[in-house]
Amino acid sequence: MKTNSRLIFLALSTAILIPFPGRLGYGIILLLALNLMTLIAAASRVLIVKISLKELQHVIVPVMLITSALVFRNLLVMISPVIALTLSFGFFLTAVSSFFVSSFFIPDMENFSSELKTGIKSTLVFSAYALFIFAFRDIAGYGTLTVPSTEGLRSVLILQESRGFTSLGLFFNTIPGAIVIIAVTQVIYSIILDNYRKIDIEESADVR
Amino acid sequence: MFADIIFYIIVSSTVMIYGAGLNRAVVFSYSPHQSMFKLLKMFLVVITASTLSYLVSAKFLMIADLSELYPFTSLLIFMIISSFIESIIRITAKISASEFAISYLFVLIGTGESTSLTECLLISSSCILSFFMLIPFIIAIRYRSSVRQKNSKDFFLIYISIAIIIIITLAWNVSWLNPKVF
Repeated sequence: MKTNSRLIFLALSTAILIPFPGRLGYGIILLLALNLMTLIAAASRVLIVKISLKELQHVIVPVMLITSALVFRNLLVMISPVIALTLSFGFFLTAVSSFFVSSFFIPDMENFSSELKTGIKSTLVFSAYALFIFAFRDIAGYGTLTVPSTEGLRSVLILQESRGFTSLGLFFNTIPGAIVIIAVTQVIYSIILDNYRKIDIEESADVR
Repeated sequence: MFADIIFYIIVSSTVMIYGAGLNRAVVFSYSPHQSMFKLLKMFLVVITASTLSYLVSAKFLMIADLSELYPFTSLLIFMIISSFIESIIRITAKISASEFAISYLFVLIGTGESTSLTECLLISSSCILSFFMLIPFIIAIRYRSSVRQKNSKDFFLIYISIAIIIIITLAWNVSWLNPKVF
């Protein structure tokens, strides 16, 4: 379970944190799309089992995911063309990585609610973390928080401009900065998991 | 044409800018000899699939004003070719060499960012080349820093060195004397 969750975290974070500018508005839209795609992947797997086409699931699930990515992208073009221009390739990266995640987690289930719970829980936890990272990059690099709107992004100024702070924060807004954030988070996450496991083992030894 | 190749291999390498195959490059670097078949299959599949997908989208979809649907048709073409080549490899070499995510993303990039068939092939092969070129760098860094296991600390070192490689390859394109930077 430990290697699984770390691989899932790495796959999702490299797909969502690296290619896009570090603005909160883009993060909101992308994470919404990610959660909806996980829902669609879970639903299509249940449908496939119900019509007993289990062997074809590696073909049908990507097709459903890419179709949903196409639909989202064209909806976004209708609602807010400027954001769709920036995120042009992003929905397909998200779809491919969510297919990767769902193929890890879900071996063989017929129950819709349990399938949904296991799939959505990890993406919700990841979405909370990713929203926090997007907000941090936005404030550190530009001093604003942005929300999506029909003309692009609407920004709210949080910090006054001061030269020393924004120049270091600007590094976290770039691609190497995102990779550094991912590496540091991954180490902290493993340390927390290791200590959690040690406490678990000690508690079970105490009980005995 | 030469500028296109250099652009997609080094200047704006897909693996580094989109993060498309970063995890897989790290995983492949742990056992490069066993990943040879996967890399070979990736190369064959991407070249064939991007050719066919460009032809379908340029001749059929654009005439019908449906060029927005190119990811869907390239996925169908990619699935057919990938299953065919994988079955051939399984029959002859008895190894499984399946790889879906990065191959499909390279096909998408090649089809979406090209204006002619030559350019589509050049872009797809440049993406693959940049992915192949990243793997020896990671292997060299791992041997120099004696990173042997797949722990979190070793992954941390590899990711930080990938970030440094990106800074090195893209540092000349940043205007450093801009007042906001320092």
